[in-house]
Amino acid sequence: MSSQEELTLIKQCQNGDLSSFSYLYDLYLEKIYRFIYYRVSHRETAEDLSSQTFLKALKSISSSNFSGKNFSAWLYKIAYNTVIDHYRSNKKEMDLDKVFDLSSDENLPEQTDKNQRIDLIRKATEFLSPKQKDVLIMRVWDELSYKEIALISGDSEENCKVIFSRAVGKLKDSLPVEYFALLLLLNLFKIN
Amino acid sequence: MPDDKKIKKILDDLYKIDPEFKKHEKKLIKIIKELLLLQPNIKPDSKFAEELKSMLKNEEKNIDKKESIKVKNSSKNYFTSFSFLFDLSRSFVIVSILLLLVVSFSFVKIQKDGIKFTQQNKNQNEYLEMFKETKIVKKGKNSFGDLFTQSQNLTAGNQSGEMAALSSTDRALGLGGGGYSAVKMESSIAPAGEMGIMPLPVKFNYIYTGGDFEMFGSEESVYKRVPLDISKEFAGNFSGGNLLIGTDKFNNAGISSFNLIEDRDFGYNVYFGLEDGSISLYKNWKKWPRVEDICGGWENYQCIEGYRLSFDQVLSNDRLLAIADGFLTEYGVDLSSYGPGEVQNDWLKDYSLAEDKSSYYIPETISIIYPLLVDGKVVYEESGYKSGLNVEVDMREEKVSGLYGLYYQNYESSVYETEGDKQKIMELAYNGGAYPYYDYFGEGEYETVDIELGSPSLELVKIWNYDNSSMTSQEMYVPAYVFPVISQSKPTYFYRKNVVIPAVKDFFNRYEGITPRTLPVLMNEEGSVDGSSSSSEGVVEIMNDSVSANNFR
Repeated sequence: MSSQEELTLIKQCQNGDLSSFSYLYDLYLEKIYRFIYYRVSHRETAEDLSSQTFLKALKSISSSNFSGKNFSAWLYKIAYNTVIDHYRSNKKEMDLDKVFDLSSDENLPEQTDKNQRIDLIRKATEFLSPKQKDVLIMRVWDELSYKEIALISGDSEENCKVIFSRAVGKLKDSLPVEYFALLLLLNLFKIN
Repeated sequence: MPDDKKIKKILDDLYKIDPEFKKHEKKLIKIIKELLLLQPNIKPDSKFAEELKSMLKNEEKNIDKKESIKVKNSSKNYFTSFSFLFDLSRSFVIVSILLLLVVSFSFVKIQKDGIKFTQQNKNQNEYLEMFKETKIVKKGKNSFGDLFTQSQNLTAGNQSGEMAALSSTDRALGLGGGGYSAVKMESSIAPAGEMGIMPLPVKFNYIYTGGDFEMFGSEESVYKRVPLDISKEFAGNFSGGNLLIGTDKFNNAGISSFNLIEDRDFGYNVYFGLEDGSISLYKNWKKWPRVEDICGGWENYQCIEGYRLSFDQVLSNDRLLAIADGFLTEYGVDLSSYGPGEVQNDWLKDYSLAEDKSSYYIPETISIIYPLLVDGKVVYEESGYKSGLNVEVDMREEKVSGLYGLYYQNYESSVYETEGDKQKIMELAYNGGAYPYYDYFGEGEYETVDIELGSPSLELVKIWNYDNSSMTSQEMYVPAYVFPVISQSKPTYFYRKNVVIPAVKDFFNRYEGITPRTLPVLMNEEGSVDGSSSSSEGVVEIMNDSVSANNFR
């Protein structure tokens, strides 16, 4: 679907024609579900919060005053607040500690070296602050722009950029010698 | 977007923020590629997707109907399709509360000037006496069995991670005889106005400047909180009957807790824990103004943002204390087991370090701690914060919005042997306690922040200890050396106010069994390594990046 078509659907919904909402749902369900899942690390909870997100969006799309272009950020913001509400009602802080342990498809025996490197990266993420993890996930996994991240998190765009750059810098600096030794070996033997 | 394009976009953005990153392009490409490999490959279940879609379709129809008959729907009835559930649950809650109130009011009269207990029978009066005063029942030596069972496990967990870190630190950095260093990785020093410049990781270097200090006796009392279980006493007044189910059919039943909910503006929801003798209080959120209601939902973020507190709205410590003290007086809370209130203003440190103060989220509520006193000693958490009665003040409404940590003071005490070796105590103090921040194990540059510790006071630390025989956790109050953090050499995100070292020998025995640490070298006046030497001053010297301590024995 082109961005123009998406804009048309959003405008139809904003004008009260909610039948177009299901197309937007098809377009965003996977993204929103993943976004929530990264933050709750639990399938059923992610389903429950995704349902709440889309219900809230459906109820308020015609009364909200975002421009069509900001629909994505608006929807992610609803999802983000739903996740925060979920943690608040359980009197917990948002926990992104588990998310880097949830993957990946790369556990193949012939890729031991790669797995080793990934494990080292995973360990290095433990040193990121919750905010840094959050912004890192939004930028790299959710593929959100800094503008969108800013709208979702409530921080300024500039601040989000700095948080992200610090997270990447910290990852780079936190990686132990073993990681770079592995990289060197791989380069020497042209394995990659 | 294909991965290569995605990575290029991420890198281009990074270079705009800090061109220095360009130098590390190869490393960064690897890191981002591998971060992408870590991304969980998760998709919503197709059955769930279909069900949700059909639910949304139904909801669309409901919304259309409501629009057509111009019924103004408020956020109060958000999920209209489930409204019957709300009605049902509301009825159930009302009936339950009425029942509980009947039960509890035969025993407890809540009046505006506090809680007054009526005298019903002998048993109840015995309990009432227990409520009124701190009770400590002395037991024989080592009556609580093996202490620090759980601490040992936690420490072992910490240590295994730290060992790896420590070994690489030693290899890469060579700590030498320096004060033991630990790092909180996120505690990078970030001077205001240096947007985009990568801050360095920080090592915390604990330095002791307090001189010689008083030690605990060779044996000291450890206290165990004994929860006051009155669940059966309350249930004794419960006559039974049929409330959807025949309640008289349940045998030997107790009431574990009940809530009083005030139906008034700014009302409270008060929780009474009858199994552990605790009381806590929260906002009855339905009766307090909520920004999300005013703004018509969280999704209207621009409106929500407009309601964020500004720095000008932050209340002074005096005002916060006046609100909290006034509330406790009004509600007749007996503070004889607690010290004066202390405002917890850690957020101000974050705020002062924040680069963009306009986007800093100023907390709506501030906590005031009334430190718990047991046998005249202040109780601390292992983290170094004081433990006790917490009162939350809502700064927007200038009212108390929560209270927790109020318990009936009922303890057993038992004498345990303490650690008499000052050197061992100092080793842990230089470590930042038994639970220091993570060690820095990178190769690159880092900054060192010296954390100055003063003379310890002799207090208590609250520790949850797992009892293997009963398979329950027990709340223990253990004699502890509390080293105050006096200063730090640079402003950074270091929050710890005290380093707390439990004084009981069991703790040290277990700790010793796990990891030998790199420690400061003890030096005599001539500079030779000799722990037996004594000097007149118990001071710390900073010599060539190393810290040496004299005369701790």
